[in-house]
Amino acid sequence: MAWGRSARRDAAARGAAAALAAGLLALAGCASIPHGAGASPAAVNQRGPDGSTPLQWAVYGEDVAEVQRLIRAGADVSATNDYGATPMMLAAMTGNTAIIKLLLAAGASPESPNEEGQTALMLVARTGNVDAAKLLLRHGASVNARERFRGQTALMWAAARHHPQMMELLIDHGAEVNARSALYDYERHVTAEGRAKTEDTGGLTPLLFAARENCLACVDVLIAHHVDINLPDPDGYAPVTVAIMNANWDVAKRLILAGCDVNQWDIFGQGPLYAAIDVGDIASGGRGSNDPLNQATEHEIVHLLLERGANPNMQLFYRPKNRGFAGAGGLVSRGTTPLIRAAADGDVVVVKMLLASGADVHLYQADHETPVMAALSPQRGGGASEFRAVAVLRVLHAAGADVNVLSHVHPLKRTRGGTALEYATRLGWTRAMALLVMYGADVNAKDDDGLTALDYAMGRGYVPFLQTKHPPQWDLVKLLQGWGATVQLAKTPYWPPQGPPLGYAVYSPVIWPLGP
Amino acid sequence: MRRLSRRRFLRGGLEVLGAAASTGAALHTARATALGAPPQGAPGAAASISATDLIANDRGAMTLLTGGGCNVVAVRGPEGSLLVDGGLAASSGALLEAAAAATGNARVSTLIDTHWHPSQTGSNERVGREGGLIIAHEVTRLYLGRAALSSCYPGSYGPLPAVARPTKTTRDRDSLEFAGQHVDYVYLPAAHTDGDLYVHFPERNLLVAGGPVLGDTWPVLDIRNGAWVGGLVQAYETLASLARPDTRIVPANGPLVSGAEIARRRDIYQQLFKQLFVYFNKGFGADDVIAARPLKAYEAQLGDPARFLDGAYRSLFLAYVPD
Ligand SMILES: [Zn+2]
Repeated sequence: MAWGRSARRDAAARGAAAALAAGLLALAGCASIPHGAGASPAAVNQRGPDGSTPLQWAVYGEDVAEVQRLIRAGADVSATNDYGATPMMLAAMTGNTAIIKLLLAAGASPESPNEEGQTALMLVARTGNVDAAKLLLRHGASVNARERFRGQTALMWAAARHHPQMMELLIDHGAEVNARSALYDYERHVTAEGRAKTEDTGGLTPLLFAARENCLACVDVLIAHHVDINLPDPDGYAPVTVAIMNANWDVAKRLILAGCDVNQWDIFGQGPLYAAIDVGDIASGGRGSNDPLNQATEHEIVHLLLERGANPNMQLFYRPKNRGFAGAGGLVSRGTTPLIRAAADGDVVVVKMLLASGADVHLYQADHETPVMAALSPQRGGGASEFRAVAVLRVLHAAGADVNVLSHVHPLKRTRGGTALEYATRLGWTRAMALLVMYGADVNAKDDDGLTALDYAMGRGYVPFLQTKHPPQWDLVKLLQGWGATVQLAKTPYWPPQGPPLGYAVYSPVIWPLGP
Repeated sequence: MRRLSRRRFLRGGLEVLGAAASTGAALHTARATALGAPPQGAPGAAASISATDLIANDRGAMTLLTGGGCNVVAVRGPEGSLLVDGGLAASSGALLEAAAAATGNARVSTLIDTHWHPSQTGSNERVGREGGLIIAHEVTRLYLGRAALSSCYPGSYGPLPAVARPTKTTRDRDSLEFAGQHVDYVYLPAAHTDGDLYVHFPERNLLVAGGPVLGDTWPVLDIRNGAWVGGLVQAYETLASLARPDTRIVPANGPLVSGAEIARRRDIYQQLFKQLFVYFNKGFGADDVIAARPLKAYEAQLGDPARFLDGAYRSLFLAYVPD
C-alpha cells in the first residue's frame, strides 16, 4: 500500500530512473556528437562512452532536422545505449510526435520495450501527449502491456501523472480500467533495535493511483468508464480511503457521491470515516489542515460519510501501519473508534457529528482508553489544547461518558494507563481536572501501578523513554487535596531507565475484549 | 538485502489466501460467484445432513447436525428449537428440516451465530423471517450488513437482508435460559474473525467452540478481518480453562474434541506463538516459517499446517506495526 506522497515509488520512480539514464547520457556525451555532412555510416552509429549514438542524442535534444539527417545517413533506429534506452524510448520520454513519426517511418518498433518491458506507450502516457500516443497506437502499440518491475500499465502511468485525456484515449483503445499492478509480498521483520519494519505492497489500480495523486478529472474518466470504485489494494485500502489518507478531499467526495462503499475497512480495521478523522487532524497541523488544493474539507467528508451510513462504531483491529508510534500512533491501538480519534484532536465539531450519528461514547480501546482519556492525550493524539479538550469533555459528559474507567498498562503503546483524572493531572490541566471531579471522578482511584492522581502531582509517575522525572507540582497537590485526595504512596517508586521497546512477544494486552 | 517472497499459494485449503487481492480480474469475477447464494434461490437439495444425538437417552434434546457447511447444534425447546450456527445458505433448507425432525420443533426460536462467515450464517434469513431471535457478536451484525471481503473465501459475502441480521448482540458476554438450562455465549477476541463467540452449556458439559477450533485439522485465521495468532492462543486458553478433560467440544467443522485435547492444543499454540517470534526476529518470511515446519510433530494428526502457518505468521505483521 502506498498512502503517502513520500512513498510514491511506483510510476513516478520508473520515470525518474529513465530520466536519470538520459541525464547521465547528457553529461557524458556532449562533445562526442559527430557533426558535419560527410559522416560515414560507421561514424553515424559511433557510440559515445555510455553507448549512445548520435541519433539518440539528437532525439534526446528534440532536434528534428538532425534526426532526419542521421536517419537518412543510415543511423540505426533500434540501437540501445548502455542503459538499454533506444531512440524510440528517448523520443517517448519527451513525447515529441514529429520524432516518433520519423522513427516509426524508419522502422523503429512502436513498443521498443526496455529490459523491464517498459514500452514507449507507457513513457508517452506519462507525458500526456495524446497525439504521440495515438501515433504509437496506430502503429500497433499494445495498450495493456505491463512493465515487469511493478507490473504497471500505460493507463496507470497516465493516472499517476494527471492525464485524463490520455486515459480516455487508452481506455477507448481497450485499456483495462481495473488492472492491478504487481503485488510485492515483502516480509516484515523486527530489526536489531527491536522495531517492526514494513514495506509497500503495491497492487494498485488506475483508480488507486488517481485517488492517491488527487486527480479528480482522472477519477471522473474512470467512473465514466465503469471502473469498480470499491476495488481495494491488497491491504484492503479502498480508493476512497486512499484519497482520504492523502487528504485528497475532492476525490474522496466524488467517490462518495458516486456511491462507493462507505464502510469498507482495511486489514487494520480502518474505514474511510476513521481515516478522514485521523488525517484531518486539524488541531495539530496534520496533512489535512492546510490544503489549498481542495474545495471539500475533512468536516464535509465526515458529514457525507455519516450521512451515507458510515458506521461510527467500527473499531480498529490494530494500529494502521501508516501510523508510527509518534503522534497519533501512540494513542491508537486495537479498539480505537472514530470518536476516540476525534476526541484526541480536540475536534468538538466532529465529536458532535459522531455522537449525533450514534457513536457509542462507552466504547474503549483494548487497554480501556476511552474518548475522555483520548481528549486528555494531546501529546499522543494531536495538538489539542486544554481549551479544546475541555470543550470535548463537556460534550462527552453530556453524552453520558463514564469518567471513572481505568485504563491499563499497554506495552506496545508504552503507556501505563490510569484514570482520566490522572491523565489530566499528568498534563497539569487544572480546568480539565476540576471538570472531571465535578463529573464525579474518584480522586483516590489507583491505577495498575498503584498510583493515584496525587502521586502523579507528587512526581511519582512512570518515566517514559526520553523523558525526565517530574518534580512535585504543589499547586496540583493542593487542588487535589482540596477535592478530598488523601491516598498516596509513601515514597516515589523506582522506575528503571527505559530504552526503545523490546519484547514484542506479548499478546494479551493487544487483544483484550473491546469495551464496555 | 531483504528477501522477497512470492505470495504463497497454499494447498489443501478451501481457497487461496490473498486470491481476492492478487489481481483485479480475480476479485472482479469472484464477486459474481460469492459464497452463500441467497436462500430463496437454493433449496439445499444437494446437502445431506446427518444427525447425531449429543445427549444419550434423551432423543432430540440436543443434536449435532453435520453436512450443511459447518457443525450445527440443535436443542429442543418449549416453543421452538435453539440452533447454534446455521450452515451455508444452500444447505439451510435441508438443515432446518433435519433440525425440526431431530427436535420435534417446527421452528427455530433462537439462533446463535458463532461468527459471520457464510458457513455459519446461511440460515439467518429463514430463521429471521419466521420471527426467530438471532444472537451474535456486535461485529457479526456489522459485517452481515455489508459486502464483506475475507481471506477465507473468494469474493464478498453479504449484505444479508435486514431480516437475516442479528437482533440481539453482545460485545463481550451474555447468557440465556433455554429449556431449563443455562447457556453462556462469550466473545473470543481476534481468534478466527473479530466477532467469534463460544457457546457453553455448562449443565451438559458441552462447549460449542465455533471458528477457532476445527476437529481434525488446523484452524483458519481470517486475517483480513481481525484474526490474529495471539487471539487464537488466548481463545484456546479460555476454552481450556472452561473445559474439563471430559468436556465435549463442538468445533466449527470435523469431529468433536475433548477438553483434554483442547488443553493439549492450547500448549501447541502457546509454544508456536513463542516460536513465531523467534522467526520474526530472524527476519523469516511466511515461506520460511512453513519450510521450517515448527508443527512437524503434529502433522500426522492434524495434517499440513502450511495455510494455518501462513495466516498465523502474517497476522504477526499486522499486530506489530512499525514504529
Ligand atoms: Zn469461519
